[in-house]
Amino acid sequence: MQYNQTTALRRLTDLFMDDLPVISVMGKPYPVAPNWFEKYKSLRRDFMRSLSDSIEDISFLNLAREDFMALIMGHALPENLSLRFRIPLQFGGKLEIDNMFMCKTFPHSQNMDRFIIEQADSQTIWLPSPAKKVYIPAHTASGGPGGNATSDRLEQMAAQIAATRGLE
Amino acid sequence: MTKEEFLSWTKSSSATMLQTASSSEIAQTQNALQQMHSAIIPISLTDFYKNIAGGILLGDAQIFGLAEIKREKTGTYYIPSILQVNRDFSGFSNMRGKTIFGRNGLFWFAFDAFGKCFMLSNITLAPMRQYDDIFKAMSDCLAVGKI
Repeated sequence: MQYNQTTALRRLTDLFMDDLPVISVMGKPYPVAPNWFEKYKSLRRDFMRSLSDSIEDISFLNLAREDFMALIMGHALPENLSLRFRIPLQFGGKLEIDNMFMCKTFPHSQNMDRFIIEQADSQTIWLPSPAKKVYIPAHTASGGPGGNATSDRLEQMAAQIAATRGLE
Repeated sequence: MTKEEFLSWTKSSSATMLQTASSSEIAQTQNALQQMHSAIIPISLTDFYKNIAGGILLGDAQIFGLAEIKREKTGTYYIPSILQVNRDFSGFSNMRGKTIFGRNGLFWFAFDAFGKCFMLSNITLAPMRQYDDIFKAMSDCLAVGKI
């Protein structure tokens, strides 16, 4: 199905992501480097470590302390979180931190896959590209209980991690 | 890959095995898949759902189960059932005759009516790799969840 920007945004609203910006690419396949998977594994860790600049957004995810630490240290992605490319490699996206973002797997990442697959035969493909590194729909990003790892506490932990990295 | 090798691998990977499915859940799912003209679940997988695990989680990879699963990690969220996922994707031409049973952050996984399994692109659902062995396909699906 060929969307234009208006219909693409309308479809995302149907999928409960009404505040998700889109970018367009040409729907032609690009060759992917044979060693992309090795680079991708390393890039995932680098991206997770880079999230120490997104603590306020991460606080809305209600992560347990150990999950937060594992994420920010680049060790493990907590349950129900996914890392995605803004522009998939098959559409010419780069293996770079700036080309990635994090979101909840269910329902958001699954619905983003669905949104892209719906455009499989289109000349122009509209792709989800959140403004920040972490996508949290606006309707879930306010008035939350704060979980057991609030923004202040997470910022303290992130500062400790940053100090530790400075000593490495 | 045998079932025993797969189970040993899931154990060493610390995968989360979900509650087994009942015979009636299996029968209902098979009927619904048939009505949707999707492939019915092969015996090796129905046995697995009934006797070993009703779904598997490993990092951001899942083998879908027969019922929706409520999880309480990182807030409450729901993993859709194999039927819900296949209803969502039933209109796509690449899915004709196939049934999705798993996903990770890069690929979707499906089987067909002949018991063959496929790794599918997560942007077009085009087949990228074919398997004769469902346990090998499941392990490839889950392995990407913990890289």
